[in-house]
Amino acid sequence: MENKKKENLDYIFQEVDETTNVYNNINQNVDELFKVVGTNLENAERLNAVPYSYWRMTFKELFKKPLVIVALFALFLILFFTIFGPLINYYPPLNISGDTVLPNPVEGVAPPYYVGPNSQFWFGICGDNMGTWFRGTDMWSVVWTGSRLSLLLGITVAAINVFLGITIGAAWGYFKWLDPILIEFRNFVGNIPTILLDILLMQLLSPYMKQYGFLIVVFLLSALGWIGLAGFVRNQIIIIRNREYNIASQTLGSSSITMISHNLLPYLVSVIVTVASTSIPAAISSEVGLAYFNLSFRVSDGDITLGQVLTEATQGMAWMSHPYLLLGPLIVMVPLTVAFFYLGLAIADATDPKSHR
Amino acid sequence: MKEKNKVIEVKDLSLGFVTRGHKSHVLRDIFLDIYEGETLAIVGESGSGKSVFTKTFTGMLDSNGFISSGSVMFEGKDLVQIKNNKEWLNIRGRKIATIFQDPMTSLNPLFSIGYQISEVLRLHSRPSKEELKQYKEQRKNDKLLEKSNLQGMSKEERKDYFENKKIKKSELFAKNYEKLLNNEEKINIFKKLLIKYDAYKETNYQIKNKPHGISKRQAKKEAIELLKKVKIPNAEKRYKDYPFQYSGGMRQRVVIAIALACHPKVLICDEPTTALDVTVQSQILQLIKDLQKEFNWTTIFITHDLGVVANIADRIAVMYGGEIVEYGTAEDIFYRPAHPYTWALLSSLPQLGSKDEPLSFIPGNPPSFAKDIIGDPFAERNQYALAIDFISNPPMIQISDTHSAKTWLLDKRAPKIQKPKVILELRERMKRAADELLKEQGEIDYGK
Amino acid sequence: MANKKFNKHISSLREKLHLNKKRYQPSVDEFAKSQQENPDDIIVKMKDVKISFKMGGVERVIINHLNLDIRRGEILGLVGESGSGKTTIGRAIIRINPVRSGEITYNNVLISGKIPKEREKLLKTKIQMIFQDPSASLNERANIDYIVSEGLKAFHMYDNEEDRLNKISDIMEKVGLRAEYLNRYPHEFSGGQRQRIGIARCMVMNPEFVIADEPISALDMSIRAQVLNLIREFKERNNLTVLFIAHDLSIVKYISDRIAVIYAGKIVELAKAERLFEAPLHPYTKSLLSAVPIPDPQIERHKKIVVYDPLMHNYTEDDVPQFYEVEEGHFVRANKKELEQYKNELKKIGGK
Repeated sequence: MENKKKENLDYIFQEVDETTNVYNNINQNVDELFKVVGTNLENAERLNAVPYSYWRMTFKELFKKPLVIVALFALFLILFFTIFGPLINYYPPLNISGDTVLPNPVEGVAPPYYVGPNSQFWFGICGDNMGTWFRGTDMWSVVWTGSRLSLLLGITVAAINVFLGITIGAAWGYFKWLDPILIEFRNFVGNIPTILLDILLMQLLSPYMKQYGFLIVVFLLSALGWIGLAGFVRNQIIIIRNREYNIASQTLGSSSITMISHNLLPYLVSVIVTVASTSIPAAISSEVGLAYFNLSFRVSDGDITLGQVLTEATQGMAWMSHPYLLLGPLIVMVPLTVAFFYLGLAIADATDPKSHR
Repeated sequence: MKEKNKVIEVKDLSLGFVTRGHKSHVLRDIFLDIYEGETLAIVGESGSGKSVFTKTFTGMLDSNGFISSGSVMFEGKDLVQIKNNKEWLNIRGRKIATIFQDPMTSLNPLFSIGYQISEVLRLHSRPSKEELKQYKEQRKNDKLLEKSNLQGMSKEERKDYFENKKIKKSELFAKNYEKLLNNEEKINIFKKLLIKYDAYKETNYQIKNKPHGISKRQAKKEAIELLKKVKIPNAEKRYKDYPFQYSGGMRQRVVIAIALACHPKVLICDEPTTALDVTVQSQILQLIKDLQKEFNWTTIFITHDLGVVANIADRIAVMYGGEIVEYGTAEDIFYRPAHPYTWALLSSLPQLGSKDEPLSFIPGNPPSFAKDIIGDPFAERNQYALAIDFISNPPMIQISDTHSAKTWLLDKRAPKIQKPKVILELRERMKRAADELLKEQGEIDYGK
Repeated sequence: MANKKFNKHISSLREKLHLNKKRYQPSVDEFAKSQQENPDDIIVKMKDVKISFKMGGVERVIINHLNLDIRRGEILGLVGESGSGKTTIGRAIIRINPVRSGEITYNNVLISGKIPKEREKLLKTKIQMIFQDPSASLNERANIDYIVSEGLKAFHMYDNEEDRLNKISDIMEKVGLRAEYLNRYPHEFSGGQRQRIGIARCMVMNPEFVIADEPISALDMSIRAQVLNLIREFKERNNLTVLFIAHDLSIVKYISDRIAVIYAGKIVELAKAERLFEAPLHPYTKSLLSAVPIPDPQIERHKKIVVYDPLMHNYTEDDVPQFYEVEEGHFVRANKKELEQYKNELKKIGGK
């Protein structure tokens, strides 16, 4: 504080010094100095604003926060193990017939084993879990295999939802005739319990489950997932639709597509990025919910999602006596959702031009 | 001219902002005295720092602003040194009130106009914490005294004492009730009940000698009184209306009423008429002037329109680039302007132009605060800039007791220059404009 | 500079790949044809126009029975307070606000209500608008290059990229801004500069008719004259017709040929600019005149404000007010009783 004050004072003193210097010089060439020279319009019309780039400022603001670095680091770690995790310490899971493929069965314990986390099996081994196929599975391998598919699913669903949400939402907000139709659609679909719809669709599509399982789940999650974002974009567009610069564009003859792409969406970039960043963990969580009701896909025993890992691990009462079974799924799920959530908040702050000072 | 009391004394005030890591210097070395009961107009373009300057009086600087030097003395206190918000709350609104350009910034759209005014009235009538503390102690002592008195009395005397107290109370109540009843115009049973309750409360306060704020009903009455004072037609009916039901001019009147409710010593008007129509503008100006006469406050009027200034100001300070470049009485500035910036401002008024010549304007932009200004900030746009203006900032040079200007042109060594045509013909042109615009009013008083 | 080179490169590439669209050419220029067929002094004619908005199911009539002719090559000042409907009229001409009944014609061709798409498109190249608030009417997320050439791009009114760049640099110079600012953003400019950008994007379309909707009321006093001069310059250079909307008579006086005073959706007085100041008849005009601040403290302190009260007229049902011509080119809204009174007033003031 003191330092700051001193700095300011220094600045003023410096100015005073300069002025006195000039005073001394004045007497030497008075005629030269007191001559009318008139305006210097070249300078007066020059732009005064310090040029600044919106995105550079956004990133600067974003990386200022330590929490963002932590979140990004957590995401990086999860991504790293998702890709390389199974390669590091891999034991293929048991097949359904129950033949043990574990290379080093634990001595003195009859198969299938319950083994806590140790130096060999980092997340432990699931034992005979109420007769599910999960018996004798190495949790480390299965968690990272699962997160691979879950992330892929999350990113695909989020991409589809964001794309549909923005395009449909933009049209919904911009074209007045579309509004009542889509509002009725939203009211109708929004009032049907999603889980009922999912069960129904799953029943209908079950013959194709083996072949197109992944695509079907993507379809289930994104069939209605875009409505929320679309409604949000619609509200935002209606707020700025009648601003004067849009009327100006209209009088200049700009087409609807130009209006949406150049006048409306650029104003929504920050809110859209924010919503999009939270939709990946949202999709992953939705899949967990589907899996809990046994509505998720399973192509083969090796192809498994985090939702299925969590469901299988919590079948029966075993997880109460062996709580480490939840450790693996939680270690991926919790940082993933929390990190994305904080990132979303931070992006919302950083993209707000008001915070750029 | 008699000596006047200074209300606000600004000395060597310098102020800056930190924007995106850059330090900018927005106000530089401002000296200004503001006298009691006068109307001071601060004139300048947007970006001249005129709003920022008055914000230092109410502590409403943005969080990234800092005052680097100087002092603002108000009632013997240096406003620059005030750091905590509590102290500001005592000054802001209560002693120095502000009216903004957009009345909606001071009004809550969710509450009725009347509620907002009466809330302010009630808030300001409420006793302070110290007063309440004092009252508590007083009350404690009173009770102890009463107790000791009662102990010394016989049974009969005690009975008499309580009887007396009761009679006194009912008498007081009757008096209060009658007073409140007389205040109302239409009376029905429910109203009577409410008034009884008010009177009961009032009586209790009076007996206990308790400091208290005004009641809701009384606040409403006073609020309507205020609305009438700012000339809102049908004040009783419009009391219940919400801000969106008022027109722009009416809203500004309401904001003035709210400011009035606090009986401020200084009223800062930050471009209150810029967004209004000319007809409404002249009415609001008249209202501010009339109310000032009645309540005798000091007005600080910020505007970029010299036409408005002529209407309202006793004294004028012209600001440019964060400095006061010229100040003086209204007559000084309009009839004997000395600074080239004032000349340029006056000649750009459309009222003074004529159709056969292009209207004059000030080319270029006001200086940016992002970079340090060397020399006179107006030099670049100044038709009469001297070479020295680009090197050194001129000192404030006194012309008369009331009139000073900050330009090298007033220096002894400066060449004599021909003032612009419009300035030379200023009086003529003003008279012509007046003839044209005001001929309906018969004789026009042109003054000296 | 690198940008220019890059643009040149891109444009030559586009030409090679035959990506360039053809310049916009209307199949038939209805407006020009109609003008040729029967030459007329009047460019925009509003006949019995009614404009209303539905707000919560209730119809609010803003303008009713409006008749107004705008002459070719003039600047018509339209003066009134906020809420009087002056902006609504401007926006009705340019088809932002729909007209409920009555009709608006441009060069004797109908332009209100349902009209062919082709005509609507053509109309947008003929009529342009300058907006009030320069900070609200420019797209903050687009650079000046895009903003100024938005209209050109919408109609493709240029041969190639180079032609377009030439056009916008040319117009930027005319409004006193440097062409090197083309890739800057609006928030970097001052209010006056922004308004000049607004004028540039309007004038680059080379319109015949411009609606200037309070183009200076949001600007500082010191630069208002610059924008006024600019509009006048363009008007003289391109032989424009301008509808200049304002709420302050003092400003309109120096730019308008004729002035129409509007109150509560009705035009109450219309006259040549000088004549309106010489012989104001309607009490509302008089109150507007008295409200103009005079930059002289002595005069201003003794000035009386004339407040207009619309109830003063005492209009009855059998003496309905109408728009009468009291002298040549001087119209006023009055009933018969008032008309006599106004005529007497004019006699006192004397002829032109």
